[in-house]
Amino acid sequence: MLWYKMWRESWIRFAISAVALLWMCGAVVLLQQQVRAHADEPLSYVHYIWGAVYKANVLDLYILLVIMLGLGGVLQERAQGTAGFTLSLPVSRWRLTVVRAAIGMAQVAILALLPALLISLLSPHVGQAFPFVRAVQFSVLWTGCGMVIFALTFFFSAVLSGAYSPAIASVAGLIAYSVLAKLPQFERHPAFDLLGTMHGAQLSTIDGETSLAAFAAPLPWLSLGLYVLVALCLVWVAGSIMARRDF
Amino acid sequence: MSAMTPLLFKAWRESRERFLLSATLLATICVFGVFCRGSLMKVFVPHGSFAGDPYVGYIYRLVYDGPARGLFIILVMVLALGGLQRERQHRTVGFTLALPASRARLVSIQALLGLGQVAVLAALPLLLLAVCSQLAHVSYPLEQMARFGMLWLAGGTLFFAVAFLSATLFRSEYAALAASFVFMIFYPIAVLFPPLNRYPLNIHHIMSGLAMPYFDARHALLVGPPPWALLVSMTAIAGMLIVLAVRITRHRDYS
Repeated sequence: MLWYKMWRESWIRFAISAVALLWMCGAVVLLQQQVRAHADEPLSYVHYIWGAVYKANVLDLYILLVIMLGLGGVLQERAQGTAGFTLSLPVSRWRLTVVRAAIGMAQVAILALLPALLISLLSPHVGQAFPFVRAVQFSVLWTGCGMVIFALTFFFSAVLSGAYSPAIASVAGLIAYSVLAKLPQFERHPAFDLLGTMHGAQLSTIDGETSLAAFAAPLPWLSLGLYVLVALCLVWVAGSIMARRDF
Repeated sequence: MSAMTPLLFKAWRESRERFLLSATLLATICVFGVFCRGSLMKVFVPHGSFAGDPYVGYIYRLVYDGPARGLFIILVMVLALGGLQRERQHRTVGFTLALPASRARLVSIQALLGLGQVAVLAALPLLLLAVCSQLAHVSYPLEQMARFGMLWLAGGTLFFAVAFLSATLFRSEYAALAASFVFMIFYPIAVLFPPLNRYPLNIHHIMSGLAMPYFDARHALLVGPPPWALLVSMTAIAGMLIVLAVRITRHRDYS
């Protein structure tokens, strides 16, 4: 029942996110001929998809949607006057936190998988192909990094009471973080560059067109493991704050 | 005291936290951008990216076509949220609707205050960059900042109007924000479709000048007369969206 409650609270956001991502990816695939024809340099289909989906517009959208999914929680419910009902349920506050985080992270993973599925299915209809293994690799990268972004918003939602403040704080935090990650001091540690990892900077052969189409390069598992750990820590901190807070 | 003042005060109280947070974040980028330019310039303007003054190119990449512009758009959309739909969720809509003011007036004043906040945010880089650049003994043309401020105001007004309408349509405040974010990213893709791709309709490009005839990309400077037709059209569309939101609010059942 608790899972159902959390799902009901976020399903509209999730549905909007899924439809938007599918629309965007569909538009990118269907427009491929037109955009590639106007490109400054000859652009292969695989590179075009990488540039439009995994590096630019769709990635930006995914990040914003993940932030949206992280919003909510008991602190926000207090403003709506429903926090009392939620807290009176016969479950611990920790369980509330864990279930909400689990639902959110599952949604983050499903959203990350959608571009891979749609692009692989739609590409043959425009006479092109995008390697499915590579697409799934990006989904794994998006899931790992998306979990950190989700957990960051989740954390801010447990700390900031305003309805929109956690979203603003997350966007600002990510912008600051992405600028910091590019500073020369951090350049030697690619794992630090979360957004770079999302668009495949750690897939060492990403810049070569042939290698993009070829069998996938190994994923940065160490970085991904680190991101998942950071995400879990943020959720744990959010849970601790919620467990002690006076509502 | 006119009847408008208490309503303006109410709208201000509801949005001031978001506005002050937004202004602080934008100000932080501008101030840190100027005073920490030593390290950041290597990131934003690698050697030889611009033919002109590297500082001008750096400010353009950091503020007018960079993280600050992205943040500005998001903040403007967040400022537009709230209103009667949100109050219904918080169960305070009855009190607001019982005030001796029409719904159209309530919503119009909320929009008016929001647009004022958008104008302040659009002008903030101008004020801060002018002062901080002088303190740091560097210079960025004032006229350029004023022109970019104008582009930001027109673009920001349009994004504000979209989010304002979205907040009127959706019951869930998060769904309204999600829909606004989707518009922000989806719109530039949509204008790639024919016949839209024949016209300069990408608001992001209009705001930054990128690929526009009024922008010199090599020197990162706006040139020629401002694109008045574009600015007026954007403001008019924003006005229409706000009027539509007001009309929807007038006829909606908030019980």
